Amino acid sequence: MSTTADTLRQRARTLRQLANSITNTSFMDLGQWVGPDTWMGPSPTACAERVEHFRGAFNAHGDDLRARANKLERQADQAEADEQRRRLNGPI
Amino acid sequence: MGKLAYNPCMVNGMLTRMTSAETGLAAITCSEQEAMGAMICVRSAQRELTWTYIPLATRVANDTSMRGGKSAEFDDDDIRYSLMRTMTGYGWLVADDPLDDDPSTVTPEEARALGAALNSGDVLEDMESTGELVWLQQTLAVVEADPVLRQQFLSNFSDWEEAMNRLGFVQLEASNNGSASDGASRAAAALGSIASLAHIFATGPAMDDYEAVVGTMDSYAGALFAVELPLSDNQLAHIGYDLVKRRYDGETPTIDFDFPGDNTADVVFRELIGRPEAAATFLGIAAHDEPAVIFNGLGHGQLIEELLVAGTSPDVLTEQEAGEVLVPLLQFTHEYGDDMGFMYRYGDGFELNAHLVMSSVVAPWLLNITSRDTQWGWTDDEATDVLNWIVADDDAADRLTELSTAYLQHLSSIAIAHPDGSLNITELNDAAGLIAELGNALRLAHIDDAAAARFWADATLLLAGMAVTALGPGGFALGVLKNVGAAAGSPLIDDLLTSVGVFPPTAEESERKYNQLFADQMTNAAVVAFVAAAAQLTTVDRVEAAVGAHRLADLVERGDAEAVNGCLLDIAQDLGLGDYDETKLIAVVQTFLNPGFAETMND
Repeated sequence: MSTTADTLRQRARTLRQLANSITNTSFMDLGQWVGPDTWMGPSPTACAERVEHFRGAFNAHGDDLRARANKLERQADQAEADEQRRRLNGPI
Repeated sequence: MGKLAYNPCMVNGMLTRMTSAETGLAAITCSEQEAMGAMICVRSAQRELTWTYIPLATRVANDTSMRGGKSAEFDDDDIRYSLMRTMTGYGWLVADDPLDDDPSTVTPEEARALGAALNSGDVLEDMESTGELVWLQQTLAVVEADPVLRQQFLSNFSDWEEAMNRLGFVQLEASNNGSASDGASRAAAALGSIASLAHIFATGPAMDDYEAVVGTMDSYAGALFAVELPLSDNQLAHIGYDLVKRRYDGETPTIDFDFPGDNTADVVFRELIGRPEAAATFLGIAAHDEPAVIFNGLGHGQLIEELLVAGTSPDVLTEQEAGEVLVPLLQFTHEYGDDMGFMYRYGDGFELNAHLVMSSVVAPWLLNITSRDTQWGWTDDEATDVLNWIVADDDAADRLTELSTAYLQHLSSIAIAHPDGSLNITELNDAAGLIAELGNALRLAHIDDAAAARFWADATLLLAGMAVTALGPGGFALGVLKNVGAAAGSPLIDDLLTSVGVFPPTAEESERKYNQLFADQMTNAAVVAFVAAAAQLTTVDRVEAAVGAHRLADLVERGDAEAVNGCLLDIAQDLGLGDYDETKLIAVVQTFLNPGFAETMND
């Protein structure tokens, strides 16, 4: 396996781990605690809105990170195929 | 001040969840470039909890007990509070809302105006009150989290140098001189503002040229700024070195020069210690450019050792890479280390003992300054000189013997025989060489007898154990050590083992005897290994008889290595073992007395 492919796969793993971390963090369950069952008023409302905003953003970033990870893995496959081809064909 | 209503049964649970969520977010880290946007979002959420909503929830939770379960006063007739009035009928309480003048609401116009105000420099210059600083920090946190607000802010702000230098100075001054509570709040607000500005900076076009921008800042302010940027390990190491080196060169006075607390290097080192790969790169640069930057100009001297240990660990460096970093660092400390305690002063009063620091650093790499020294390009004398220098200090010698004993325990877990029964000569010779070199260095350093005796006792037992392991398939050193102990049950062998130092000398035994044992420790180790190994292959009685017949103890007492060697070979023959076992027993003896011989036998 080529070093380039290894590096790309490692980066993909890192992105996927981060995606899992941010979409599974306990922050994602905070919404049910900061809503109108607990408190109300301008600041509590703003708090609930901000938590909901970040929850949506974390999900979107999670999807984006996974898409980037998939792309890196495709690049790794390509790098490996190129390497294989170079080996078979010998030096140009 | 406005009001809020809350359910007193729920608010503590909410606070607990907020704190837990904040801890969870803080634990998320990633230096991957493509994750920059996600990490900025994570940090924004974390900061809003830390600075805005956890303090608010804490205040509300405390409000319940402070008022004895009663509501704050509010205007029942105010139409804005009609819902709150209704909720109090269900057991809810009303509290003051400290965020009524809500800084979390920032319009694009306000973001643009803030950028312009900060750009003029005067605003920060005149910002004396802590309240203003806290407001700035909260507002910047909101700007940072919103792409539209960031864009508006950046369209009117470009003077990073002035803003960072001023905020860095405020943070430094507040950390060092502020009254206990106010100083901490000011320092935290300044630091939070710097962090938000760095995150805003990272999303703008100037990030492509971050080195030049950081290069315009004072080194301390630049350090606070740089550690908040989403940099790779390599980038962090390089920018960190530039900043620390600038402070060290002292071409221009830096703001941290007159304060005893954190300096540029403290900020950079703390970040590097948490990122060992970056620490390794940093040390590699320093080792070949200016090693002195590692030891100078810190408020907290203990960070030096933490950085060196983190950045030279076998977890982050290969053997070859470690040599490239550690050889020049050891040469430097060997040359200048004894003067460092006088030359360098640290804000916290830490007294640098370069011997002690380097003893921790070399502990995982002991083989490379003893038996494998040629792999790092040392000449034999160089490595020996450095080792002798390290252990010349009693505390360093104690620490190194302690750490090396742990290392030897690690070596003892390595299988010393190949599956075909042949010896793993490399491992055995490495261990034997390490023990001999280190033992010699300790002898030269005249460390106290008890510590040296402990080291030799452990090391000799270990060597014996390793050698015996080599004799039979499936044996492990720890198990074998018990056999050595069993063999010691015989009075004759007990005397013999004591005479070669396997048991620390008692108080009655003189220093003369101990020094004599040091004179040819490897011969003694060979005797112990032989006796233990032979007892494994046959019986203790037979070994005892053969050892007595050949008067081995007398030869050991005389310290005649050649005679001992010959005697052991004779005993091996007399024991009447099969050819295979006899050959292996001889190989064990020769491993200690003549490693080349054993290698030939393996071939």
